[in-house]
Amino acid sequence: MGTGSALDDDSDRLLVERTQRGDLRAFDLLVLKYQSRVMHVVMRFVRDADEAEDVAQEAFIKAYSAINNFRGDSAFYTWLFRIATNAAKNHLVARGRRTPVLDVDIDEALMHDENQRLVEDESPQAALETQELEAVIKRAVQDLPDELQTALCLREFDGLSYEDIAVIMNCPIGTVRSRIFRGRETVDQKVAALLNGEPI
Amino acid sequence: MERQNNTNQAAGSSDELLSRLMDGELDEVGVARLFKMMDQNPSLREKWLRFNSTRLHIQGAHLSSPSLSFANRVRDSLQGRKQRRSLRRVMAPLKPFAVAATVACIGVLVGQQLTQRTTQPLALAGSPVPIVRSMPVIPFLEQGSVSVVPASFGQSAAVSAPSEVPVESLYQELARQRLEAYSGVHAVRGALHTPVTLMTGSLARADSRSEQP
Repeated sequence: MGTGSALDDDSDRLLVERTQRGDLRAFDLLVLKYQSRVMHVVMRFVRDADEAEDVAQEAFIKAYSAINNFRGDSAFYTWLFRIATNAAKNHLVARGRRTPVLDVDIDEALMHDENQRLVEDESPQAALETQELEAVIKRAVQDLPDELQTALCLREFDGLSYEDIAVIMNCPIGTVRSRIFRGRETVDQKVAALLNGEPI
Repeated sequence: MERQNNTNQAAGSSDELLSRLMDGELDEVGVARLFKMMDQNPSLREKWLRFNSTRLHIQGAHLSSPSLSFANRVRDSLQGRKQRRSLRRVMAPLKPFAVAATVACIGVLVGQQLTQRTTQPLALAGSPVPIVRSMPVIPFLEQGSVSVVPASFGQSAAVSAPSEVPVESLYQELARQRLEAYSGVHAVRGALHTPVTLMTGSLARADSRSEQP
């Protein structure tokens, strides 16, 4: 599983449609959702973190300006990915720097996200924070009650729909919805405590 | 106590709506409800960010810790653009009026300038004294026919011929003045060269030398 999966499609479609109707709050949720992925892609072209942040911001602004051209033929993230890579390349050209000879493919970026850690792009402190966050999330998921853990994993790892999970777990859809939510909520409490510097 | 329970319930329902939105299980009405709740409770943005970040980490992506600052920058920038655009939209109907007013102002100013120019006297426009071969011709006319026009550049006055004097008479006057001047000079020179001078001058000495044996 990687970026821009089928899991995101329905949610994204809803938010994109609202953005196309001029609701900036919907686009704000898309930015919050994809900011780290876009930053990650841009960082493959632009190594400097501050510059990369500017380019990522520019990419989101371009995406918002062109949102009415998005017809939904591809996933929203695929479209956003193209805008981000073009923005990064244009930035390099404008700065008189060479763009990478090998282009970054979205699948390659996916693999990169999944299997490679860009330690060289992160400060030691940021890398430590990321490691700590991963450990907390892993432990929180492991500590979940079985029914919550199964529902959440079937949803997040396997990308199954609520209906399919209901069939597998032999329970109503409402129960699946509730279990997934409670699982997320429990994990989030620990993540929030970590980010706020509170004891977990 | 009851109020706190209600608040917790509302928070619980808003968090559940967020969870359902993540899974694309929310309809339009649900999204509208959620956005209304987000307007009242901005911390829901942070929750949405954490939910999505947690999902990525569960899926095995190694991304940095979630931060609101980037999304805030994008949102502020887009809000600024939106405000400018709406302001431009409000001002758009006024644009033709502004252009028309500017054109009218320019028209009035140019018209005023042109009116001032045509009403100014043209007495100073031409040369005050007619010139023939770089010599000024001052006609000997009656005292009253010569007018004095104040010079535009200083306190001294310039003499100007009345415009009704014809050019032919000026040439005749010039010829008469020159003839008088030449006659005067001729008279003076003629008076100086007497016959005595001729006899005692250099010519007479040459004659006497040639007569010697």
